[in-house]
Amino acid sequence: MSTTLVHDLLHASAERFPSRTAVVDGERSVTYAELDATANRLAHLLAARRVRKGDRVGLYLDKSLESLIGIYGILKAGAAYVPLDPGAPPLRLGPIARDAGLSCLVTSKAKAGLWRSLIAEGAPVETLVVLDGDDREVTPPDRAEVVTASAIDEHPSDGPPDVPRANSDLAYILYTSGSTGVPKGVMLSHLNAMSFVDWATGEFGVTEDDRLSSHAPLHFDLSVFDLFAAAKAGAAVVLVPQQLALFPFELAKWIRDTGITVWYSVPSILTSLVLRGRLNETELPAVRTVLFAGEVFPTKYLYQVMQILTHARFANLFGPTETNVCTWYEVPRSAGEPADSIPIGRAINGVETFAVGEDGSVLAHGEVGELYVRGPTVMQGYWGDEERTKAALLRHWQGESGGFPVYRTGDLAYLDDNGDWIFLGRRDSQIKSRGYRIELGDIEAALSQHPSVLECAVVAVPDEAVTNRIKAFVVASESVEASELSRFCAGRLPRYMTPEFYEFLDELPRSSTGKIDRRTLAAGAQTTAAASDAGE
Amino acid sequence: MSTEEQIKDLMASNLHWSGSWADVDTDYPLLDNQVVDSLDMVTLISLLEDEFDVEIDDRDVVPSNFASIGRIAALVESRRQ
Repeated sequence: MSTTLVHDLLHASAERFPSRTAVVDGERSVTYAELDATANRLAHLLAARRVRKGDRVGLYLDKSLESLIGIYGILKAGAAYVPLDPGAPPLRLGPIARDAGLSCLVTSKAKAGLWRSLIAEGAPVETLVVLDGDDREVTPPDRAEVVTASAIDEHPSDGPPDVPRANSDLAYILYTSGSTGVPKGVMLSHLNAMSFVDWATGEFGVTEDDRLSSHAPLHFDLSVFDLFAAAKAGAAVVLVPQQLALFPFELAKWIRDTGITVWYSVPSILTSLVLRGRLNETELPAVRTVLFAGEVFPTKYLYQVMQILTHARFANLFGPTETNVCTWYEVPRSAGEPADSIPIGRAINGVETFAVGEDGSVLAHGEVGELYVRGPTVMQGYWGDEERTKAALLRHWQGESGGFPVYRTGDLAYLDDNGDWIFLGRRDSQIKSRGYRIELGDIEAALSQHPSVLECAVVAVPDEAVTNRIKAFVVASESVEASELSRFCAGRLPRYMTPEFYEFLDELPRSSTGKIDRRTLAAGAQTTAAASDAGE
Repeated sequence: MSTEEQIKDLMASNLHWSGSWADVDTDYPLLDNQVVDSLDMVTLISLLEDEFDVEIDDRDVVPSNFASIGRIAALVESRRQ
């Protein structure tokens, strides 16, 4: 079992490959020695600003060289990093910052205009560390102190602060949608991250010659592979420019020009490359491995990408944030018609997976049950939420006396004849859209706060390009425009959670027991979507 | 309704931007203000193609053509001819 800490990977690569490129961010790049030295300085600065072992420090900036310095600086100070979705509204982020107790944020001057509202919404911020600005450029909000880049240089670069650490310490907390409208903070330790990183680096043979793309945002756990597999191998991580991801044709050329060798993203972005990127006209000889996760990849697009990148290896990585990655499936290059769907595959090294029935018994091959996961990648729990932690993590499952807890995924799955897991869906109302997981109740909680909304129900409308689109059924007390509700949600929810369609009803359909009949609503929404497609 | 107004309506009712659409005029920098989300681009192109009955070449889906509503309108107009 790995006793390495995540930030030790950076230091080890700085020793082995001091002058190799660690991070490429547009025109800028840093070597491993430079990144390690700057992260050491930041760690000392944080320690001097009262950041202690076990503290949580927020990251509130767009993905950039600075945000990576932030991650390693925070870890080296003995704290855990908490990435805030830089595009989410302060109304969403304030309560998260309060929940995690973020008194210190690593941020950027581009976010300066939002600090005050973040604090107004509950963020207990005392210190703002701005890595890309100087004193003249930023005004501190009341009660908070702003520390700018120039202050970092006063701190030593030749080693991190002396903080005792164990691999059971938290490395990061990733907030994910919660069914009651309160996001859940998934706590991952250094061991959790390293167990996945060790496996992935070995399985995909990542070396110092590789260039890994970094497409997923830092609050999304796909980023754990990009950053830390690169650091372990001494490879370069190349940040996909945020704006470029909008333009598939440009993105394909960027992948070619940057010499990416290992690509990892949600399937949606690969689908956009097939649909609009003219991938077949862009030679990508350097790409040797394509990894995808986060949602179901429609096989017709997956096989189109595979037919274009004939030399690359393709793998589906599966696992909720609570398990990092728990299973994986290497997509075979078989002739003939592609199957309708691909498996989620087998457990990664050191991890156990089970299908469990309603009565709690482990099911046989072929029987559909809830997927349970046990192993060193399984989270430590939900931050500050004993009740949810107890419901999700079983510590003494089947009489086990010690060892790793078991995580109940809420996913329904069965083992096929080849010994691969087949994912069927969810036990609850959690959905995926654009690779993000979303609790429909989280959206309903936000929408219900609108003064004109008497009642609402939110359903998923299946969609090939993005897995699901979100539709809201609303009973309103007075006439209200869909655009008004859309604006209202955009002010309260991350963008990927805001409904795309609204339908106004006089009342919501009910089942015989008086519950909102979501099934009828969802079926209706699907028919409407199909009808409007046919009409085009 | 002008092409620009049509495009703005289309975007306002389909994109989930948290900013104020009242501020968005024909020159408003859409990309700098992250009005369009990366995974919504493919949707936006399809919407434009349907609304204006044009075909937009993949090679024209570049930042300069989507920098503002005015630029998108110019792209749509050029495809109409």
